[in-house]
Amino acid sequence: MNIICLVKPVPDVENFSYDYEHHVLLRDRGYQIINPDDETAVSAAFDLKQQFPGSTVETLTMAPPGARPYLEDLIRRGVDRAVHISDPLFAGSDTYATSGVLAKFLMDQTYDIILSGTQTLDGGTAHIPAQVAELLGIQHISDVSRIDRIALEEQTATVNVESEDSLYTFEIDLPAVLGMAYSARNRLPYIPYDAINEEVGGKMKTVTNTDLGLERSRVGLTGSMTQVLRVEVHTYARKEILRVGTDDESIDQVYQFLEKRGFLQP
Amino acid sequence: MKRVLIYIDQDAIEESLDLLEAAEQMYGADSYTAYGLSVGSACSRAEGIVDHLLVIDAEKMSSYDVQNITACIDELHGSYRFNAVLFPATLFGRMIAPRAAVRLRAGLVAEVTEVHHRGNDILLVRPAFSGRMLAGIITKGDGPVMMTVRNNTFTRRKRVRKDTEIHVVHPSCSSPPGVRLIEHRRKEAVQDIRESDVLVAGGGGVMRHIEQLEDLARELNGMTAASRRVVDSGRAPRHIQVGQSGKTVSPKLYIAIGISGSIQHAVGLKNAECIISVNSDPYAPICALADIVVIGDGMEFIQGLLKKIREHRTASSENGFPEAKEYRGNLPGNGGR
Repeated sequence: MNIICLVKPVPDVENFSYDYEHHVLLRDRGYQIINPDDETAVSAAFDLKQQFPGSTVETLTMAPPGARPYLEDLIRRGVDRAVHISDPLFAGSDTYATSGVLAKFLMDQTYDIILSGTQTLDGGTAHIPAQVAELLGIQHISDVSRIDRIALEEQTATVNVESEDSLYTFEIDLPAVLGMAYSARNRLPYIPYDAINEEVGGKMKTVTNTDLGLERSRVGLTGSMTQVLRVEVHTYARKEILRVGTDDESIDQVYQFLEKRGFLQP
Repeated sequence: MKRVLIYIDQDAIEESLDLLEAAEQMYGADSYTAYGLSVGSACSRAEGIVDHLLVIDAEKMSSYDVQNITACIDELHGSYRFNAVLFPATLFGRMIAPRAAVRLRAGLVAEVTEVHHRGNDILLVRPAFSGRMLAGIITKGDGPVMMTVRNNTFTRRKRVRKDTEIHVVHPSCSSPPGVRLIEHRRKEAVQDIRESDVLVAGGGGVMRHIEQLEDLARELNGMTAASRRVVDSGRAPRHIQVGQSGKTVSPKLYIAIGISGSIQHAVGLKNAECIISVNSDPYAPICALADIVVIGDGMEFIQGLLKKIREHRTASSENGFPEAKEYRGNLPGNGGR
């Protein structure tokens, strides 16, 4: 079985850089982590590989050159091949343009299943998996909490999906894009000690627009259907704030406050 | 007249109809025609509210058949040329909207929180970057303006009852559904943090002690809640998560312990009346929202406050009210509390 995982390195939310003049994220700085939902997806792919010996797990990433070390580490953690789509022409692509690039690459690949995180930590739109599926003309389902069963002969998967108030089990035709919901239980293995410096360049593939041949008007800022006009780093309205510590006197002040407002039970 | 299509999720009908308020903010109350799209049933609750109700026959399509619903929206757009297409950000709304945006070659903005105008453009605001920023976004191209909106973001105003025209849609594009429902179970109803007047919420700073928040919550007759970080770590269940990816709450008292308070979290506590923030970092963003900022260790605070509350109770019971709680209702002069 061929499994392709869509993976995005995301900047650490505590520490990001943003170009306020051009309204684009400076993705080349401050990479910190693989998007947690995507990590769950790769981990689910490893589980499938164990169930179906001989399977291959490949990751697909569109990101600036700075992402490469993170993709190399994915290989050291057990990924068979990492594809890195990177081209200055793609900078500033929104989800629409990005899906177009990813789908263009995927069109020429063979796969039984595409796994991704449901959403990313930075954008958080959950658009990409659905849009890639639409462009490839295949099924998609998001918020998958568990892949229950894959029936390769029938080309179907049985998956559990969880929403705020419901649990669903669906059967979905393959190939399909499954958007995994983050699960703390499905984390990637650590890099084995003897693989820390392993040379993995042979398992990396870099793809540029020379390979994909997309028109310039379809990618980057010009190919995007949305445009960020204004960004505010949120500042909260000022009001009178009582600042205290955790010493006895301070706790007493908090107690008085709670009592005055009627929060303490008689 | 502008034409606005609203996707009505059968599991969130009122929430879907609330999107009329977003449409109204985009175009003005009398300048648009509202089309509701209902898959599977006629959706009587939308009658009188939308101008046109487009109904796709249940036999033709199920509400989780996103690929065919997308094709159908494309077909409808071909005949009606909508100016905007709005989806509730439900499980399926969030799956259909991006597919439809590709079909319609349209800009889609996810989880819009505000609608503004800028010249002739409609500026849609959403939190981005894990809630660290608010982005104002316009859509480009000739396609309709598309968005998803979370529950409780907009609230529909009462309007004069409309004469809703019902149109049964016969999609020409339907293929056998590639997704089939095997089982659907409602989760057990758990006590909802949205209904609690008092919430004691824990964040990354107290991640390892989240169960100790329970004591304080119980003492204050409230419930515990958690930030995304705690829930993601598996230390608290998803249904008690506050914030953009969790629930929007409006308690009378919100005690945030060890929560830094990204916008994403703050979005979830828009209408909290009093906020007490306990944090070792005096510059944590949530501190600016708070009435009281306690700078220090969360556990120390909880233990200190619990001790104080219990001391006061013991003191009052020594004053002749051994079981004040039980007696109180019968004591004279106790009214008006």
